[in-house]
Amino acid sequence: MTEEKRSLTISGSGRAPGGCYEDVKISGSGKIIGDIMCGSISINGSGRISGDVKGSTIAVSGSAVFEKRVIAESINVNGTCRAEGNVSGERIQVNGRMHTAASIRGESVRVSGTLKVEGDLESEEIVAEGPLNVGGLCSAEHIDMTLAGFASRIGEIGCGTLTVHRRLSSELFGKLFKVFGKKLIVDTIEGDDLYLEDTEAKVIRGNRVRIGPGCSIGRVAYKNEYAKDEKAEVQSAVKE
Amino acid sequence: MRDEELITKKELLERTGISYGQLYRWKRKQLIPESWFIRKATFTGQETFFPKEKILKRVQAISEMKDNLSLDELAEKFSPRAVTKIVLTEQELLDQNIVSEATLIIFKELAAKVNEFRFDDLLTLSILDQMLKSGQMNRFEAQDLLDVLKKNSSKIYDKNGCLYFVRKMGVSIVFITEEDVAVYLDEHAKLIGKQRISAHMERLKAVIERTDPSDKNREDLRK
Repeated sequence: MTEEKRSLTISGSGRAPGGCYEDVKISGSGKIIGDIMCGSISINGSGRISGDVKGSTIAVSGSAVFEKRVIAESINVNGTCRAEGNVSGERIQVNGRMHTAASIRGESVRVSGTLKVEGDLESEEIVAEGPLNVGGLCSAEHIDMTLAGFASRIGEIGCGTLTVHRRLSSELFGKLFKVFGKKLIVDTIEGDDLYLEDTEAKVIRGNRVRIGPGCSIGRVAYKNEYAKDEKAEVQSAVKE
Repeated sequence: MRDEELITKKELLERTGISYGQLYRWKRKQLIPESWFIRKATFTGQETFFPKEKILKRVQAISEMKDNLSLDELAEKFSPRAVTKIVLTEQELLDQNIVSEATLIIFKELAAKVNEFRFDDLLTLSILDQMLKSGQMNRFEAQDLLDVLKKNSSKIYDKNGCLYFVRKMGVSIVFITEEDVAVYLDEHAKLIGKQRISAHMERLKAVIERTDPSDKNREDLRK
């Protein structure tokens, strides 16, 4: 392949066909029609891509809509981003807001804004400091959640280790934010090593389960170790 | 999937000694197919079940091989798509007793005259062989079978597909379903034969792996 790939820049308002590009930059408002394959995409204003996207880096600083699948090595969302199809990327960082109508698959997923996934979220590592909403299964080797802002709702969690912490805040702020329901609500959790705070769950199964303050759990089934904070509610705990 | 003995997730972990973390890791790496996770409502809430025989075999295989191969290499090995890399020559085909010579002659008459057989050819041959041998199908009807398999077999490698052979008033029809579902026919139509495609694939894979432990054929193709 000696053919040199061109770059695409939309400044102002415009539309362009899909295809193979080196760098794609949308600085005003732009729409790309068709599938696109490129080295990098950066969207600074508002962008919409109607086909599949394959790129090594994707950076969204304004707002972006991907109407089909997205595949990239790194995806960085600082503004808002909506994806209608499956998203896969080695490093996915969400500092703004991201909404996926299908599933996300990654190696490392870090969220400090909000992330909503209607399907499954699968990654080796998930670190979330903002609300994380997953409709289906949230599966990872390590999941580290710091509860902040609104409630996080997850269908199922399956993992190696899971830690859920409440964010440390002053007494006053704590009371103020309680109104927003700063907690994790989940149906079932299955994992090897679990530590939970401020979590509502129906069923928890694990090897080593530690229930911290603020939890409200239906049933715990554990293999090796179980501990419960006095400020937690657990209806039943059985060793299996 | 019907009529298969199932095992609960809890029982699986107890019997095999693997952890939740491992199970989910293997699922993420697609070492265990999504379709094996069968969800059912029980009185304690929702439970996940697995096809017992398949999952125990798979977990054992992964446990044995995971020290020597990376998870990604294992994933490739277990992927239903991995079979597409298999190529056998006519001689190997006969030596390994995959197909009888008579069937092979018919196949070569009806389909392309090739000396190398890819996996979809092998699958077709295996099914054709059984249909002919059991006397369910005659050689003139074989053409329909070849057509439907040639066009569609690769789509259902990772599914639980079945091939049906139906006759009504002397006219024969061959069709494939993507999953093992119930099929209802009108009263004059007669189901002559049904072949589970995944069973043929398993059989072929077993034969090929047994006689070819070094994965020679896959290596050849990469060159």
